[in-house]
Amino acid sequence: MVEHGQGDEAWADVTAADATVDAGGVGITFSIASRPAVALERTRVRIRAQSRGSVVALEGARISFEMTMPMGDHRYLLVPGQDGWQEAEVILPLCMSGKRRWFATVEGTAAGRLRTARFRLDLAPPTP
Amino acid sequence: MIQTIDLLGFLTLGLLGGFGHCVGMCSPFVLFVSRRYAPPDGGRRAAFIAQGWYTAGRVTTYVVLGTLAGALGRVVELAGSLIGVQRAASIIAGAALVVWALAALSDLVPRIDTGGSLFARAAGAFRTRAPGHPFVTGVVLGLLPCGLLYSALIAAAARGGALEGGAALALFGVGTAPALLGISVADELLARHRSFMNRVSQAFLLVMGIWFVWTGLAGPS
Repeated sequence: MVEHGQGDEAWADVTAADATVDAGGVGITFSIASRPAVALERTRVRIRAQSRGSVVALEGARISFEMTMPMGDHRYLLVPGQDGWQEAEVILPLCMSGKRRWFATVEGTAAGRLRTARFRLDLAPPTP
Repeated sequence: MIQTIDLLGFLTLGLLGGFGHCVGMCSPFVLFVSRRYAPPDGGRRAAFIAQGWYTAGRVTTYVVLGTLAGALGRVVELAGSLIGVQRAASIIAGAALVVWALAALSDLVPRIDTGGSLFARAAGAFRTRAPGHPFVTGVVLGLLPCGLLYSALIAAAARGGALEGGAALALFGVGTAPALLGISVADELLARHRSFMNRVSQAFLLVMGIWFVWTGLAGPS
C-alpha cells in the first residue's frame, strides 16, 4: 500500500502520455497501448530501458501496482516484445471508494545494477 | 504475465486486506448484522453466532464467484456482467441501512408519531422483508462491489480452474473474518450497550447507507 503524503509528483504520470524516468543513467519508459486505461479491463503496458540512445536489457523486469487503499498485490512479470520493449497485460480492479490513482513500480537489472522507476496512472471507470 | 499467488496467499490477502480495507468499507454491515440478528441481551455469544452465519453467507457467494472466475479464466467478462448486479446490491443494502438507522433514530424526534406514520409503516415493511437469517444477508451482501474482492478474483482467474478458484475465494473470505469479527467485538464492548455510542453507530449506519445508495445509483465515477 502506498502511503499518503509521499508526493504524487515523485511518480511520473503516464495517464495521458508515455513517460520516461531516469534510473541511474538508464532511462525507463512506460508506455500504454491504448488510452484511457480502464479499471477491470485488460491493459497492455510496455517498458523499455535505454542508455545513450540504445536499448539495454532490463533483466528480470517486473511491475507492481499499488494504491493508497489496500487492494492486494498486483505483480506482473514483463515478457520480451518487439523493438526492445517488454510487456504485460494487466487488469487492475476498481476501487469503490472512488480512488482511481494507481502507483506502478518497475524493477529490473541493467548493467549489473537493480534499476527502479516509479509511475502513476489514473484509471478511467468501466462503462456500466 | 501476472505473478500468481499460492492458495494460502489468498488467506493472507483476506487477512491483511480485512484490516486495511474491509474495516473501512464493510463495518456498517457488521454493525447492522449484530443489531438485526443478535438480541441486545444475548451478549457477545449471540453477536458472534450472527456474525459467523453472516460470514458463511459472504464466503458462499465468494466461492461461487471464485468458481466462475477460475472456470472462465477471464475475470474481465465476469466483472463486466456483475457490475449491474453489484450496483443493485449496493442500492438495496444501502437502503436497508438507511431505513434501519432512521427507524432506530426516530425516537430522538419528540413529535414523530411512529405508531401510525408512513415512515413507521415503511420500517415495518422493511423488517418483514429483510432476510430473516444472517446467512442470507451474507449471501446478498457478498455481491457488494468491492475492490479487494475484484483483486482476489483477478488472482483466482490467473490461477485457472473452477475448483482452485472456489477454494481460493473461500480462503480469501475466511481471511477477512477476523477483522470483521473484531469490529463486532469492539461494537459489543464500546458502542452497543452505551446509549451515546449506540446513537453514534446508528448515525454512522445512516451516513454509510446513503453513501452505498449513492454509489449504486451513480455507478463507478
